[in-house]
Amino acid sequence: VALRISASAAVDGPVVVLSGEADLTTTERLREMLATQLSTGARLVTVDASELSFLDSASLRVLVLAARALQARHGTLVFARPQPLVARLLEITGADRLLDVQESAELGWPPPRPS
Amino acid sequence: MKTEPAGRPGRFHEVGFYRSDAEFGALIVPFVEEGVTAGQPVIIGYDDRKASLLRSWLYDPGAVAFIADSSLYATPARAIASYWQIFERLIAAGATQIRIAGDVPHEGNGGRFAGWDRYESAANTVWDRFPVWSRCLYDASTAAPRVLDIAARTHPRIVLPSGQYLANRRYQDLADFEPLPPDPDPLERSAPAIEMSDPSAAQVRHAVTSIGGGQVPDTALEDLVIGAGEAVSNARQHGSLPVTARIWTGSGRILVHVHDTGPGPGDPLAGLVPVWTRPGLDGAELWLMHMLDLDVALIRSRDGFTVRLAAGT
Repeated sequence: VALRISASAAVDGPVVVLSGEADLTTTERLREMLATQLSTGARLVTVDASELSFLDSASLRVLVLAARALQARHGTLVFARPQPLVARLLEITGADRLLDVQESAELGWPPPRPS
Repeated sequence: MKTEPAGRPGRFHEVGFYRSDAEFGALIVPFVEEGVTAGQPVIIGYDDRKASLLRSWLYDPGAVAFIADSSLYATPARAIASYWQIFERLIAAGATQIRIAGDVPHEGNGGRFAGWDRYESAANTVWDRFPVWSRCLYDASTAAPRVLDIAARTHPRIVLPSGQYLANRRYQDLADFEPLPPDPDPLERSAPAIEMSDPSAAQVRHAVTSIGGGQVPDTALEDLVIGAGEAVSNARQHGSLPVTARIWTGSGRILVHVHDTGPGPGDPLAGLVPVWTRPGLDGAELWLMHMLDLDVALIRSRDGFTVRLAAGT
């Protein structure tokens, strides 16, 4: 299943929603989306992985490099609700120590305030 | 022949050979007791029998960290990464010298030696940033000649049961080390179930899933799916086209070849060094496949480079 990427603004910061399979063929789109969210100056970026069925090392590298960029500005990349296979990949690679993995984050709540 | 000056901290990777429990004790007990007396962390990764034997010989076995978790030596890359994390914690806690002794799996102790030849060679440099004194003891009565040959080629010095040291003239540096040629897999004698030319990683992942379903336990198949995808990504990024993937199945086992026409990685440590130690996280594909519960072989030949992955028994 091809990767679908979308982003929305929650009250704490942007939420990037991934669904499908993330691999070498989709890393550039993932990198661009995260760069766009980071360019807003956000210090909390949340990746909703609940519909992400696969993640390869190239995609993981993009996520970890984004997390490091956020850490450099005292920010955090939250990687929320990974499926078991993706969670296992994070554990095997030790990426679960580099990302803030949250098994049951409540995303997008409360909704963004009207501006 | 020389004797090591006592108490000098540093980085050592040494080997000893024994043929009896008495010789084993003579090689390991002073190493452990000296470390404990000097207040150094001592980490032992032995199987139950050898760990109990050692405990019974020590003055204060509670001062030694026995790692009973058999997953420590699940794969060479995992052993390197696990020790790396242990060393980081110990150094942060103030350790200035760390001693370790563990059992590399080989057929003589109920394990499989494939891949551990590269581990023993890598151990000479991979933990360079840590003051680690590693003593590797091999049971010469059970280890196969090729295992003993690798042990003799991967340790700069030999320790004798008498406590004396020998400089090892057979030692080969990492760059000069010749690993064992991978054994042929019996499945390779037959035609593959499928052969794919220049496939995407996703195509190979899905092929492994559909061909391998029910052939091996689900977790083993999952690891093979991940590893096969990584092998294709690695070939496409770092190898040369064409890339060919072949998949075999049979008798509870699945085998995948991912071949490209490039020379393969030049780094003898490829796939063994934890990727998070590298600033750009380079080499993640080969490293990840070495962290999975798979048999991994990197095969160089005149027509290119093949990553061979196998799951099952």
